[in-house]
Amino acid sequence: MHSFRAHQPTRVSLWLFFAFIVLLVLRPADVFAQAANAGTVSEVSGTAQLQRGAATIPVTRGMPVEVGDRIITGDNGHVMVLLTDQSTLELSDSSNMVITQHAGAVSQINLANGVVRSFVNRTVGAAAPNFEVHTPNAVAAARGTLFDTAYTSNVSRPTFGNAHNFTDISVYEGSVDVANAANPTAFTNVPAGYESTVAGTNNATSPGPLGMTGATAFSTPGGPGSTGNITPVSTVPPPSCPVCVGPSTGPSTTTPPASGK
Amino acid sequence: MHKLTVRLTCSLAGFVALIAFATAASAQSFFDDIYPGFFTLQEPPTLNLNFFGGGFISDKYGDLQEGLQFEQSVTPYIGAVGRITGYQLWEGEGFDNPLNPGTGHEARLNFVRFQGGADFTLYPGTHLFILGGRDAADSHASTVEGDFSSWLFLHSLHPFNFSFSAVHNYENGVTSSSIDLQAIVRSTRKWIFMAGGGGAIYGGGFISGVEGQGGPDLGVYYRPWNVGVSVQAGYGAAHQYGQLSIYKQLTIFE
Repeated sequence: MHSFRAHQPTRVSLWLFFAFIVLLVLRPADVFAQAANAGTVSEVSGTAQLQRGAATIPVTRGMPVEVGDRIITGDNGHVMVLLTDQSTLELSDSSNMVITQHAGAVSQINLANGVVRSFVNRTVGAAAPNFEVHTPNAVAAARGTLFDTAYTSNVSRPTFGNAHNFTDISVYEGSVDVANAANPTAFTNVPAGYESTVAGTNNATSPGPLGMTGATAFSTPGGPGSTGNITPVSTVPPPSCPVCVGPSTGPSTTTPPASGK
Repeated sequence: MHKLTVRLTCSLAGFVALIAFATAASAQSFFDDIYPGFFTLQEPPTLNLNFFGGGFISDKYGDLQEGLQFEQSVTPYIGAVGRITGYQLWEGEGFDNPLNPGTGHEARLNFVRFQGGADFTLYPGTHLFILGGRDAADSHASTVEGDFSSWLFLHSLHPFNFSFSAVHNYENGVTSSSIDLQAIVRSTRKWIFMAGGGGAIYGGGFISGVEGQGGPDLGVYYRPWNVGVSVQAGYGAAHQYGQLSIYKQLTIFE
């Protein structure tokens, strides 16, 4: 005869069942959830690493990139990420960024150091994407454009006083609203062909022509931190100047004028 | 009365010391703001090459110039500059040799100008070149030259550039100057368009009084190639004239 007690749930079993129910109800969403896919690595060269949670792995071409991944490039590193909405992020050398949000038309990138070039894809007819690049001291918001964001710290620049960290926004297509992170409502609209700088706790400067205000950009010769300013006027006097004594000498004293000028 | 004088003197001395201290501190602060890292070598060092050429044509004479200017950075604010320029000068009939007056008419003169000196970055976008040199071939003059160029309101949609150049020729005693004011009309990803006006002034030596010419100018700069073109046309002592300048900038990070 079987014991009746063998079919009775024990107290321990009941507690375990209860605990399981509680865990199901109260589980943190991200414990079991799959991290959202942000895109894939379309190009990589030099040294580049991806941090996902506690793991650090080398970046390879075709590797999926998830929201929350941190990508770090070395001195010679260069990474291009194709996001799921066909926007692209191009990370320069010595840079460090995290894709903190990428869902639908909303994307947010946190740039901790270096330079990132963003090409924001805008589908014809669709709502304007909300694409933002955040640095420790600035926010750049774009609505379908091509622009660079550069963040440098522990440097000094002429005329910027005691500021030692700078965010430079260089706009190539479309326009970008730039603001200090501490004062996001006081933004400056930077049109294509111009650049702006957020220095320390200051508001964004008025836009100046690309390559002329000392801003760092993706294509700045010498890489981030260098200021390869262009000078779109010649530093050499025009051709008339060194010899512009010609007409003023008047008719020669030794040769009769032939045409009576 | 004596005590009051001493007290006043002490107060005045204290006030002067305070002002002097504040001024010194302010000056130091201003210097640090404008020239951070003034005494450090530029890192990375750069070699800037500027290839240039152009021509001038008028009723009375014409010339071509072509050359290379190279600048090696020393500090972020000082660079060592060298410039080699070749000139071909065509004179109108019956005019004396302007390079060496009194030697008669020469239809064509060719000479090379070798110059060396320094470039001082006085402020972001503001440069002063001081150059000395000597000519070779049809000219044997020693020259001294100062070129000043300043971009104003760089953090605006339409910054403008003021430039002034003066070169003194010790052989004919003439000082030739050019002056120009240009504003950026439009900046795009690849192009910069400029418009303004300028001209040349010359005097001294065998020139009686001051002469010159001037007119409007237009400029365009293509960023991907770092190439610029500037044209100017106007009227003056040489009657109608036209002028073209082309330049290509190249920066090498060492």
